[in-house]
Amino acid sequence: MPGKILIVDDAAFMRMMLKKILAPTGNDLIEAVDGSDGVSKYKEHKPNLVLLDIVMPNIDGIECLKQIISFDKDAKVVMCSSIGQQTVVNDAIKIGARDFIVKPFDATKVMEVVSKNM
Amino acid sequence: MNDMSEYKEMYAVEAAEHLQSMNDALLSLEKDPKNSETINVMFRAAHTLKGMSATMGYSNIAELTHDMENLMDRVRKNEMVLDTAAIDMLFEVLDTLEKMVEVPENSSQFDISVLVNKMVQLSNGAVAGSPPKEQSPAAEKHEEVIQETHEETVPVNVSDAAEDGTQKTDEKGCAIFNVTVTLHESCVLKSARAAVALRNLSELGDIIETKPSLKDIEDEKFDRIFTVTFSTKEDAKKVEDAVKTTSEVLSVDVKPMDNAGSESLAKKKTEDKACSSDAGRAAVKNVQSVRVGIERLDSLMNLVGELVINKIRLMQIVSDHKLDYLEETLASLNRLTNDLQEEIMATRMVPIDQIFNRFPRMVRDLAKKEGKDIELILEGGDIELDRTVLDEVGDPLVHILRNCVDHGIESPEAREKAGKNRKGKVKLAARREKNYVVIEAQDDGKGMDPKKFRDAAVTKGVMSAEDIAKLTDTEVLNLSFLPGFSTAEKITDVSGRGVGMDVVKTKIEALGGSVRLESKAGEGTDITLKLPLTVAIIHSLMVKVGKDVYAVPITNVVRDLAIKKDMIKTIKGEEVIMMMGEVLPLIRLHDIFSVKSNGSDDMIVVVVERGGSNVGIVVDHVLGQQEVIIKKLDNRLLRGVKGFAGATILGDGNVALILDVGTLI
Repeated sequence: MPGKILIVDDAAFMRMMLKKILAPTGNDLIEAVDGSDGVSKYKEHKPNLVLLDIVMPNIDGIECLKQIISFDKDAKVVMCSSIGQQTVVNDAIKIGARDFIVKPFDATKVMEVVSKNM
Repeated sequence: MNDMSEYKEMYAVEAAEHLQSMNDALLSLEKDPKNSETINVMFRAAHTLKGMSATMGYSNIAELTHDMENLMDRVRKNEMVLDTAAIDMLFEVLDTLEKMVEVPENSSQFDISVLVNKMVQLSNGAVAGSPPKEQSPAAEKHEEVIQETHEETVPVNVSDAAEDGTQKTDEKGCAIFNVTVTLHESCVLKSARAAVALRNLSELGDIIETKPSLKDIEDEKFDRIFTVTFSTKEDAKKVEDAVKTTSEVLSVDVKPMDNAGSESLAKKKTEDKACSSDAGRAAVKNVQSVRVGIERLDSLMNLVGELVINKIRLMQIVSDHKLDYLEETLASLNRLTNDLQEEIMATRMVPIDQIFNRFPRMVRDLAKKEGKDIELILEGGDIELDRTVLDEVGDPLVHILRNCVDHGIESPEAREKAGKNRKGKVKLAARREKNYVVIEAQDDGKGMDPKKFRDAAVTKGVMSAEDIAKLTDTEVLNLSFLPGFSTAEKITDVSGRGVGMDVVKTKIEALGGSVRLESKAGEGTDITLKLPLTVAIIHSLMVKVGKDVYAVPITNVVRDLAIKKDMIKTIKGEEVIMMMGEVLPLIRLHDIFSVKSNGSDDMIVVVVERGGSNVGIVVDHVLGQQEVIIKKLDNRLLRGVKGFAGATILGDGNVALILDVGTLI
């Protein structure tokens, strides 16, 4: 059954990349351009899964995660991290992120994480 | 991703944008090298460009931006400052990047080693003596070597213990398993991946201990394998599945713990207890604690609440029917429930240090930014508060401290002129008073000027000049708790936007606490927060209106009065009485709840504090003080209904509503 996936990343390039990878899954793909947009889009669409970038202007991924979790404690959020952001990812998981994927994105891994968490 | 060509155009456009914003940022950093927002812009742009370039496989661009990101991260953390030479060098890097991005396919032909070296040197120079960076190839190789040797020495054996049927269960009927998890070779963030696996496991049961320790796992001091001792009601298959849902897990081995193993574990636990003072054991002590979700503690608290209510009912029945023979049993039941309640409340307690810890840095940074010299004194960090209260009190404290730094403490020059020490003092002290925790924030700054407040109130149209003249200075200062009331002359990014103190007050009062503000112009300001230890149980004054009983949180209650009907006067159609020379507006609960008043001449008024001033609530009877357990009312039930904070169940089984004085009319 197709669901909704929210992609939160300030880089249009990264959003497009993820959309391309996720298109075959048949899910509705929603985009948000920064952390605060991510929070409001989450509230608006209540997606089944969120792919959340960490480094973003306005509010960053961690703050965005906090706000999403406090709005919906069962939110399924997957962090999009880079190598070297271990501590931040650890924090994110403590806050309630379900999983993470590491940039540069490998299509197989992204699909694995998405299918496991949806 | 086989064909990247279709992304090239998009990459080029966005990369150029990021380079532009970095250029702009660098320009303004040249004038103002410490501007944290600009530094952040640089950092983010470098980070994003790195990710994009790595995705496209432009490794040279990724490497340059990676080093740039590292450098900016150091700057961001105040570990180094960008001097002219550094800025020149960064401009040089940007120029090179621009050329590379023009034809990114050829970016690999650029020789970037000189620039990379310069940047690495610069950021390493800032942290002389720090361990080599994790990205350095030497370190990586070393790590791989360790991993390989471990793979040989740690056999991932499939256990036969499962078949021998001696599966050990603990006292709660939980089985104990040793779960060995091997992460996939390609896993990059091993510690974070392990955290996901542990989180998935902890949803099924309790983690007793891990090898290596949780701390080491968090610090990534392990190769791809770790073992978890795990207690659960589920079977091995479920446990295995839980771990397998984690990505990047290569294999999972779940084997039930045999008797010997669990005995030694139990033994180890007692040993730990026996020598817990031994500093060398500090690391082991870590694994003795079990993480429990706050929801579980909430539901425990709720259950105990129910238990207490039923106990009170039982006691009432016993006393009503004079069932003497039950008294002894009931007394011990009473004691046990009280102990249980205290234990659970103690479990929810966390030291206030958890939020105090972040303040020294915050105050230092703010003070630096404002050019002020401030000493922050923290006291009573070991005082414990309920987790829920602590979570809610963090933001208000941040705001209060920011106010202290921004508005309270003067510049060193102004302080000197006023005959004060150049260094301002801000003190944050927590202490326990009976069933409350009091947090006091004091500064020795310029204080608040009641006259300014009076003027501001009139110009803002909050009050007429006539009314404001009637207020005492303290009452006037408490106007700062009104929404949108700020006397700050200029708006800074710290405070002075007119939001703040009202939010502080609302938050604290929502917790059942209170805020008091005292200030003397020229001498400083003193803000006192009085917080309940827990939000689940509150002391209340029980009052009766008509046939119904209501609970008034004791924190709000100032006193109660017995008055005669003829003492009531009317001002502008509002009923008031005079109390010690003060005009006290009256609220008749009879009118609000449409209850017939008994019309007698003698009336009882409960004086409560609301928004810095007092209000009298007219009731029929005051029944006395009692601990009540708050039952949250469903929001759907209370939609649009103000004045109630929740409900509680009384000893006789009846429900009493808890009045929320702040929102009552």
